Amino acid sequence: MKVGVLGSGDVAKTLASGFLKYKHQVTMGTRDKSKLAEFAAKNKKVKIGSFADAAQFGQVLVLAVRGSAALEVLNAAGRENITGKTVIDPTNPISDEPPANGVLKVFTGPNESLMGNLQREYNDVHFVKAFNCIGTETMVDPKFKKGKPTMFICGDNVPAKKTVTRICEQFGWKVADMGVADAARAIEPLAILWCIPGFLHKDWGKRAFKMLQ
Amino acid sequence: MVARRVCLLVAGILVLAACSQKEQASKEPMTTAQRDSAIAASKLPGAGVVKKALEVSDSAETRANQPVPEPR
Repeated sequence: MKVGVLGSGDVAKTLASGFLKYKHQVTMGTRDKSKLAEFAAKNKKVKIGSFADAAQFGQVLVLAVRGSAALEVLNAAGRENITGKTVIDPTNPISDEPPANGVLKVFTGPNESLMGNLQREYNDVHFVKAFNCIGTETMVDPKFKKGKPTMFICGDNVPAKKTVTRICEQFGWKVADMGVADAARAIEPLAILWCIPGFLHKDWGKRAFKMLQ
Repeated sequence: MVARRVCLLVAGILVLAACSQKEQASKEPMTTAQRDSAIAASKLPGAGVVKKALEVSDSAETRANQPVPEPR
């Protein structure tokens, strides 16, 4: 599969590495190609281009950027390059205010989510929330003694979710589909929950969520 | 007999003191550097913003802890 990864941070590089590991073709999009020079030197098969280049290339896109920059990056990618495509959305609407008692603040309102806002802005794009509430060390091939952790996903387009489910399963996750894009209001705050043990007890160890049924 | 009791009491106090110190040590606040490295290591999507938020928080805390200059 051709995958366009928008972003040049750790999440972008980790997910790009995962796609390369599982033999997908990857083009990464960035504003500043120098940020990915070292990564490209280590991963000869990855191509580096602009946001528009990566968006044009990918059958599936990954929006691996800061939450507050997500809309701007989609605009830079170009509506014509993302329309009708599946976009994996690991972004979190984390505010630039300090956390209160270990609880992060968000810039979205109480009854909205970042993905919901993006979906409203780009209603012809198939966003699927995934990979937002885990650290990069467990995004690809997570190893836990108690079995596969759960990847919570949601999105309005069923075929897009099937594609993302296959990717998550390939990356070693058990997927729990939480329904339509509205469910991002429930999935995005899991990132806040994930961070609390770190802020309160200095526990930044490897961890993920698991749904028991 | 009395000396033995005193010895046991002193040993008990020393053990309690050691435990108390260990408990206190674990509650010491993280330094900015420790927090930054911890969050950088965790690499959750959006972690960069968290790091910035903590820097703001830490500098606010530092300002709050600075002694208030005495009025002249």
